[in-house]
Amino acid sequence: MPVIEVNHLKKQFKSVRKQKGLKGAVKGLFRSEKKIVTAVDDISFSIERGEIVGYIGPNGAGKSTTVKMMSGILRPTSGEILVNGISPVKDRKAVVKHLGVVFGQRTQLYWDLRLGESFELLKRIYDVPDEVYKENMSMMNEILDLKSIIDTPVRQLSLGQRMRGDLAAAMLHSPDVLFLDEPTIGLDVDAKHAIRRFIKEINETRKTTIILTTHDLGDIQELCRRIIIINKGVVIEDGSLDELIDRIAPYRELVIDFYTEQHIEHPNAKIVSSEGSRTVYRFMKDEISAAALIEYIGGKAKIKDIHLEEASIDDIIRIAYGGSSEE
Amino acid sequence: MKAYIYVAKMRIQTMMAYRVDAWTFMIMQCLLMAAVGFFWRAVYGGAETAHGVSGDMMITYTVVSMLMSSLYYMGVEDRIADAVKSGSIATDMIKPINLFSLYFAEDIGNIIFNLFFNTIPMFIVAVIIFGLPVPASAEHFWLFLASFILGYGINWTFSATFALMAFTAIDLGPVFSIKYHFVNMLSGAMIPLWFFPEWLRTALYCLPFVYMFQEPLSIYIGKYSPAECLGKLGIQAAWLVGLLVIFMFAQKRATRRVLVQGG
Repeated sequence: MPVIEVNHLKKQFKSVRKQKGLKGAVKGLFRSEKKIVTAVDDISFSIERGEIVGYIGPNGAGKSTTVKMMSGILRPTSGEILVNGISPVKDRKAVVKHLGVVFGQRTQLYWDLRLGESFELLKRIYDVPDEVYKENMSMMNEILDLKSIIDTPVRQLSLGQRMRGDLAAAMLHSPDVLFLDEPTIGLDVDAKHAIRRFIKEINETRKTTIILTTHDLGDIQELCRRIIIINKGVVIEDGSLDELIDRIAPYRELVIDFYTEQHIEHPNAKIVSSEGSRTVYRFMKDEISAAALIEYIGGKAKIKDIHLEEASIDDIIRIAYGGSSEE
Repeated sequence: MKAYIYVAKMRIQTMMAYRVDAWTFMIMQCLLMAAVGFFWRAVYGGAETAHGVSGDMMITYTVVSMLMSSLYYMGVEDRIADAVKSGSIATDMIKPINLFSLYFAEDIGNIIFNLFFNTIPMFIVAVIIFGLPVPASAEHFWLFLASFILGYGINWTFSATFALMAFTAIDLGPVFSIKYHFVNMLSGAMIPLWFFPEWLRTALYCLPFVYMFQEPLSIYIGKYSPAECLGKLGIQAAWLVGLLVIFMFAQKRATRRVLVQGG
């Protein structure tokens, strides 16, 4: 049975169109133009226990809105969501009891108090038994190094420290599903690394199902075996990262530096560019192997240097988005 | 329950971080209390009683009213408005707790803080300026206490119902502060209703506001016999139940349409 099931999810907002300038603002006081915005149009997917799914898409694609609907914060206009077999629309409390949520752009920690106070409160809210609490804290201490920050007021924490605190807060009650909405946004390399390590670790040791929205392709490459790409409120890709690469960009590029300018052609390789002594060939993986191509070219001219380029995840995502970002 | 007690405790700790605010507010309230007290002393002049209430009773009324205001803390409106405006409502909603119980617990924490940092200092100042505000009798004092708690319940439920507007509207501007002054006026917190014209008084007794301040205070200064007081408590309880029913119904509808700002 899937842990999360989403069927034909749709969410529309009414938004007031603000008019330009002071005159417009005054006008808006009396008569406002309402228009309906569709944030999520038709989204369906299902996720099995223990998966880490990258939920990605350009800004304004509807990622956060989906996460908010799955955690019972927003009510869908239509469609169905089941988390652990329970609908967050019907019983928000029952769903969030087994759910951890981290919003990278805001914190659930108490701003004016020491970090530890927030943990103590969550322990009571989720009714976490003492032994489990201790065990969880020591496990998270190890990866997230909480000891050094637990007595600091949250407002004095750096962004990276705060995010570590927020992750720990989301995992205190050992939820079996974790939603991470841009957890690495604005973090430095070290902090990112710690957070990825944490995500990997809990997924491996606890079989926690994780949905991760991010713009950081490093996150995806390192963590997600499966990605769901959405754009303009609909799912445009859903599958494993490798399969996606094979399908969207099944080619590779061979860059060869000759000693002199050359013009060697091969029926299975297209010359993409040829500048001075450097020639770039593009070929399909299943039509010819890189070794065969190098051998063929090497037979015709002396090669100084070669390297092979695979389509980067950047390219894949860009192609999948269809080159479109925010309208 | 443990969670809500902890919320109240954290609220007190948070308020401690902003002690200076509390002290300045306290000084402001003391000045207001003195001004209103001296005003009534001047109004009464040599007169013995007005509407069956003596000058001393009126000063007691004023002092106790101010002490009550300092304990009638209702942050629920601003709390929801801020949470919706900033989008932090999302982090309240990912917890398996009732939102309004959470906000109520925060207000209780605030009241406990106010008791020590506002009410007690104000009480000492009042005793120095006007003498001890004695209740009509020990019995009246206990009846007042019950009436005070019911009055808070009515006040909070009314505010919470009002606060539901904040779930769906971003820009409420000074709506809450208009409401505050309106309630202050109509509840007899500043001027007892017996100074109002007959028709207005009759109308106001059909609304819940008088049961927030006027009636508990009237009990305190002994305007009613203990038997009458029990009747008043009954009406307060009825109002509280009625408002709670409306609130429950309205909150179910409002939380469905929550707005969440930002990514």
